[in-house]
Amino acid sequence: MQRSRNLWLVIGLFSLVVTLLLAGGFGYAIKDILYPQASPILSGPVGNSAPLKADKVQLVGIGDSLTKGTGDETGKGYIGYVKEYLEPVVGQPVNVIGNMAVGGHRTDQLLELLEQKGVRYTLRQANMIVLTIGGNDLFNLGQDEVDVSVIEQRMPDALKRLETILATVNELNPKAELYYVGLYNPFAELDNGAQSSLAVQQWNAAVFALLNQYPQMTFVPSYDLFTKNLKEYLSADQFHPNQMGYERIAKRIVQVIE
Amino acid sequence: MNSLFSLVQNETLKMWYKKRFFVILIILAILIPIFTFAQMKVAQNVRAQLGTDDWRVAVQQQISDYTNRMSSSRVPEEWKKWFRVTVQQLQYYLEKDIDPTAPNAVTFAREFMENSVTLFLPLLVVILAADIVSSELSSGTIKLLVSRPVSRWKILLSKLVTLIFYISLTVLAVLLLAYLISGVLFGYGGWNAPVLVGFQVVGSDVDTSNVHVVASWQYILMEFGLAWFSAICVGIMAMMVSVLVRSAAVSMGIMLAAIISGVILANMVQSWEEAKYFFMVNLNLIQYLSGENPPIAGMDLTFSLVVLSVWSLIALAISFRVFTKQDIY
Repeated sequence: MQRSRNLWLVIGLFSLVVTLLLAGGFGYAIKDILYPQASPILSGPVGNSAPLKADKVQLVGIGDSLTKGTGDETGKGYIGYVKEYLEPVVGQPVNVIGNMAVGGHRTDQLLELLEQKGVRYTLRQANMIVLTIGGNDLFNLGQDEVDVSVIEQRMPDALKRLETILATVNELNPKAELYYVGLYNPFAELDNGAQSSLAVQQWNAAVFALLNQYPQMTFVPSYDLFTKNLKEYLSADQFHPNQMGYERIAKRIVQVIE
Repeated sequence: MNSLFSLVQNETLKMWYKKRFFVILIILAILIPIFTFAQMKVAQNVRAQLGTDDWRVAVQQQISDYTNRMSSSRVPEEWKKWFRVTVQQLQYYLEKDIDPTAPNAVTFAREFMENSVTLFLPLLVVILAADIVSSELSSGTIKLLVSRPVSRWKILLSKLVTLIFYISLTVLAVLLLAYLISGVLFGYGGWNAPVLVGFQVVGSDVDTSNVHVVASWQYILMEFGLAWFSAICVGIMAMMVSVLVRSAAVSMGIMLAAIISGVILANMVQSWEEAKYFFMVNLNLIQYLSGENPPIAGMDLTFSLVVLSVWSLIALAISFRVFTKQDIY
């Protein structure tokens, strides 16, 4: 009897205290949710870029669906293959610390993205950056046809925005090697393929000129990879590369580095 | 008053000797290590993929993944809305340089309760409450109880108080076990780590004008307080069922069906707005603290509290009415 009396005292008192505590927490939560009081939040020191470690490759991808890897059933995209092929070449681990590419993005959207703190931070951590952009600016997606006059009309503005993009990346991280993968012409086998190919190469030449201002930036052509047997290297959507297409792009990038 | 006190004492000891609470402790002690291990695997996986421990990079990758899924045309509109809200919150964390998921025992306990509040915690409560009255009816011990010179409402009230006591102990046990067990792998620090609260979801956007920092221990206190309240509502429901139904198995079945249907409904009824008046859809009070998108438009903390309170009061009224009038002999 005495034992159960002691037991009751312990359980009873303890659970009473816990109940009151939880009820207090409940009340506190209601107050905090219904009458929130904004308080100044001290921002931490995000600005500092961590020192680059020379013992590994820190790869970051930005841009559009090509860098994302759309069309590759394995989901790796050329970034995944670059990692695979580059590791034995440089004899260091290659870490894809971020792939911030978003499918469907145009130069204006990439510019917006570069305003974000997390994107800027990640770019600062990189010592190798890969970039594809411009395809969605030039081609009217969702159509089987391609209008060459539209491409030529859109090109100047897109190039201007790309110039700002490159300047921003250079400002964020002038030490990281940047590889821009040039455009290929997925519409080369259409009736006006000859004209659209000219327009695509015109873009590539202009981008080369922009990249040329920065010693750490390199233009990687992909145009020639997709000239013969185009259908072999395109995925079902007839626009994005398939696994083989991406592997070829990746090999090209690694060749440039070798 | 004195009789009520001794009734509570009696009930509390009875519940203790029924060993239900130990069953709960054992369930927790088995499940939490599994979740801890799973969590560690996830963290390792992310680290292996990114090749870095930097949480900012990991959070940015999460943002990029959500952004990509938002841009896909095959993703339903409700999901996109949720992605957008999540992305905006994560960006805010990055802006303020606060790690939303610092890996430590406190964060684990926080997330464990976040994921338990709609299903797992109610389940534990049902273990306690499903036969709190019916067991006495079926074993005949109720005759001993009611033959004593105390009014029947006091008997039921003492059972309710006891139930609330044990629910409190259960909520505390979840916290302590989650903290102590996961701390083995994640470390025991983090009580003072900052957490952002006050995100308000407005349509498909997040209003950050009221966002403020609280310490993790404050967040835990609030979170477990909210979970405690919804657990008590579940307990009151279960008690009503156990007054109405004599078989413990049947009353447990009824409660489980109700709770599980709540989880299913919350996942699929974005378009059926009236479903928000079910108590089981409103159990997740924590979402209002963490600033998630509520399952159905028009739900907020006040709404959920009113729904839960009204259901509980009705259940209490039914319980007391039936229990005092019931023919026991």
